[in-house]
Amino acid sequence: MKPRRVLYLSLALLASIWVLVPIYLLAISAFGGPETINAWPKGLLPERISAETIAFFFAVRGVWNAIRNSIIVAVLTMLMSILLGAPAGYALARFVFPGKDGYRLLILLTRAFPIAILALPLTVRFIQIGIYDTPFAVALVHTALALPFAILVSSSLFMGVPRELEEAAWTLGCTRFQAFRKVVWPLARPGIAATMIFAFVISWNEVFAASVLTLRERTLTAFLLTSLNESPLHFRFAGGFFLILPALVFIFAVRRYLFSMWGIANR
Amino acid sequence: MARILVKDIKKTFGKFVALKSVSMEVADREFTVLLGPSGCGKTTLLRIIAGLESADQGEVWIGERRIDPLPPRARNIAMVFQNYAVFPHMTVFDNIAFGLRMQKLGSEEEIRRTVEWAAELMHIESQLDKYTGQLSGGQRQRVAVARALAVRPQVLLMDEPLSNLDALLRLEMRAELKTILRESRTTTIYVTHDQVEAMSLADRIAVMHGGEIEQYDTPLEIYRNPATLFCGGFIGSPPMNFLEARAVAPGRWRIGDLELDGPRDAGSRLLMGVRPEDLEPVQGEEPALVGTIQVVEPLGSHQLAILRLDGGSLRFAGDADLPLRAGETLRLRPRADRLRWFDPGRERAIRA
Amino acid sequence: MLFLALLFLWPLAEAFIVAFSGPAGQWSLENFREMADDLNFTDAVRNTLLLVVVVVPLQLALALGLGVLLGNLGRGRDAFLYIWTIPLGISDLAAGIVWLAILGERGYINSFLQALGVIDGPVLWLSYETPLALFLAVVVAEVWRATAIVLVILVAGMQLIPKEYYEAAEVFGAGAWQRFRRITLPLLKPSIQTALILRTILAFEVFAVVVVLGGRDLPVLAGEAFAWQYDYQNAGIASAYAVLILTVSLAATWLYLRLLRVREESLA
Repeated sequence: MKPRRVLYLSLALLASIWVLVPIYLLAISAFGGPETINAWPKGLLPERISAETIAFFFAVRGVWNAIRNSIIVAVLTMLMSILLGAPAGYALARFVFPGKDGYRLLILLTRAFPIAILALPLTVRFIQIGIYDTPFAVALVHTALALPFAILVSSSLFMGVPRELEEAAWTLGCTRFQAFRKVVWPLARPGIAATMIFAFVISWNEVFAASVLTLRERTLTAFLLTSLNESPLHFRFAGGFFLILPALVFIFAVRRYLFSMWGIANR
Repeated sequence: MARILVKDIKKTFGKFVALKSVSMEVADREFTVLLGPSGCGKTTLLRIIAGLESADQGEVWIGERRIDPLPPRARNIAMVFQNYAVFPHMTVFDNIAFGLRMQKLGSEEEIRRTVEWAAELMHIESQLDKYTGQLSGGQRQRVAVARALAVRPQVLLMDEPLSNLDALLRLEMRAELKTILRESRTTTIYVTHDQVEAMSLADRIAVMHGGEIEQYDTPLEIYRNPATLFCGGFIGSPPMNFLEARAVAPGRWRIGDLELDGPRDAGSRLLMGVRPEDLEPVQGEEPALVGTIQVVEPLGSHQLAILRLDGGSLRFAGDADLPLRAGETLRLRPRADRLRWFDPGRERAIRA
Repeated sequence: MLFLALLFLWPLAEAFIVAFSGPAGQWSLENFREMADDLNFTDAVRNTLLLVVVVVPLQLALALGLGVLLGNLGRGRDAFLYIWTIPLGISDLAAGIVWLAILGERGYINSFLQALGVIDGPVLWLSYETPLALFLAVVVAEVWRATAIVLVILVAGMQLIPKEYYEAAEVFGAGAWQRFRRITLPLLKPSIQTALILRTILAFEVFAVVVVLGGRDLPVLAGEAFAWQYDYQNAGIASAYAVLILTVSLAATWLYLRLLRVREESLA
């Protein structure tokens, strides 16, 4: 191998180790049992593998509830952002209407809004309407967070389907809706699925709003955050690991689509 | 009856006037080509007939039905797009069958037979199970045509279907298309910017320029008797020569040293049009157009020479064996029966 | 079609209304004054600003480096890209916990240093007695977590640069560094602008990582907002902090848009 290439590979490997090792270390901590946590000094290789910490984690009151809530919130977010986002994306991709560019800018700007700005006033509002401390309320905020992303990505997905395909369908007997269903949707479906999963992950990982908006019906992130100070170390580690796990799995499953969505092609 | 009638169609996009006021009548079973450079409005006109754009004003009739208020699917048309627009997520079979299924044109059994017929026509019967993404450009184009023919439309619309193919394939497909469409005898409107394609395929050509139809006639008629300067220059390769002529007497015009008979009562300045192949070399000292040869292009079957005259240049297409050399002087004379006269102001032809 | 236009105008409108009714309910400057008087205020402002100023350029440089490296990798490019973007799926809370495991009192860094013989016993990196160490810990954790965001934006931008530009430059004698400076960087400007804006705004909101690693020992704006809302139940001051975050974010965005103004024509 050329020396250049060796250099590049080494650097790339280094960067990859830098990313992966911390996760690995957390995994050991989570699976090492309480002795490992308190052991000193720590080795790089797992000394024992025990499910004790994990079992302990799940046994803590409120954990299963929190996980359940996180799932509910994430699923709701996923559904709402697609139901609202995809039609918006389609309109943005196909129709020309006055203020279109302004609208696009507006969408980008909403991403610029700090979550705090959304979440805090909403707390008051939600208390008033009576939906405070419900998964639905958190899902609403998460949807607002994920929606701009969903709209923009789905709009670029639809733009990737050539208009001619729809026109061909129209000349061959389809109504607008039929053409969408039979031609556009099948082609955009994988990307939309990836967007939905990404919305799920965004919601699953969100901390601030989830913590502020819930009291009893916490999501996993809120639960972990608010119990940080009182919880023992191994509890935190186990919790952290389970926070990461689903996200990792999902992102792995849809990575190809995510890349093409963000505009990164496979060379 | 599937004749097409277009009445006073106007279309603007914002400030740009795409179609000024276009009318034409295509006869039943006729193959009409809309020919013109980019921006002349030919694709817009086609799309209006298809129903993919709506005109600001005017009417479109197919047969005895007025179709301009109808959506594309109700017009009994089929269209072949420039980029083929074959559905990548379906097999060739499903693509061809698409229109039939959407419009419920028969049982599955009948549909299968029609699809096979169309596929055989376009020589792709062995590809029916493949996904269109696996096919080459030329094959995809065949699928697009098969798909259009399968629904047996009253009118077939084609938007530059050959322009994305490489040169050799284009020639093959051109011949094939002509045969197939002649046999199917469907009224067809075909859009292209390639005048050779237009000449070879059309029953009649509508030459379009700046949002208007300048001439709508058989290819040969347009070639011999172009109605406007644009038609004369656009059709024919190399293009027609235009030389300034001045009146020296009623009916008598002078170009350089040459004097010719021409129109009377046509003002004092005209443009004379003559095709490069209608010029003859002149021996001796007879009055002629005299020029210096700039470039000689030996093309095998004939030669092309570009000459420099006083105030202009001239293109000459002559016999392959003529001894032409750059830098030499050449004397040429136009064939009297092939002269055409044009009014420089209105850019229209004048009958002599 | 109009229906669609209305349909997606609603969520945006909702967000705006909510945002502005919040602080509007607290229109007295009282809240802002109380916020400013609070013990942690100046620290929070200072820390947040410092974090942004340190972390963002660091990540930009890192991401640029990684992006260029990626461009030079033939095979394996996809695998590496996937690995490097894993942190995108990791919540900031989880990232905080990850680095807690490493930097904690009985953590891996200490074990490592002990094994090397550099130290005798565990060193407290994360206590409020060592604010600098705590700060650096947060920097490390944030860089680890969020560089991927910048990376993705930059890589997408780099893709758009046609290979031919580099080839032409090489033919005309430009070396690797020159190609980077004169082709990659200028053509990447819009992506860099986007990435900077996004990352800076997110950086001003830094929250969970700090809380996990240091609790309130290292006050930051978002952390204070949360504390006032959740622990002290004072929505007013919490909102004041939120408005402050918003203002600073907008100011930074405006600054970026000005400084990195991209001429449309130069990109055509």
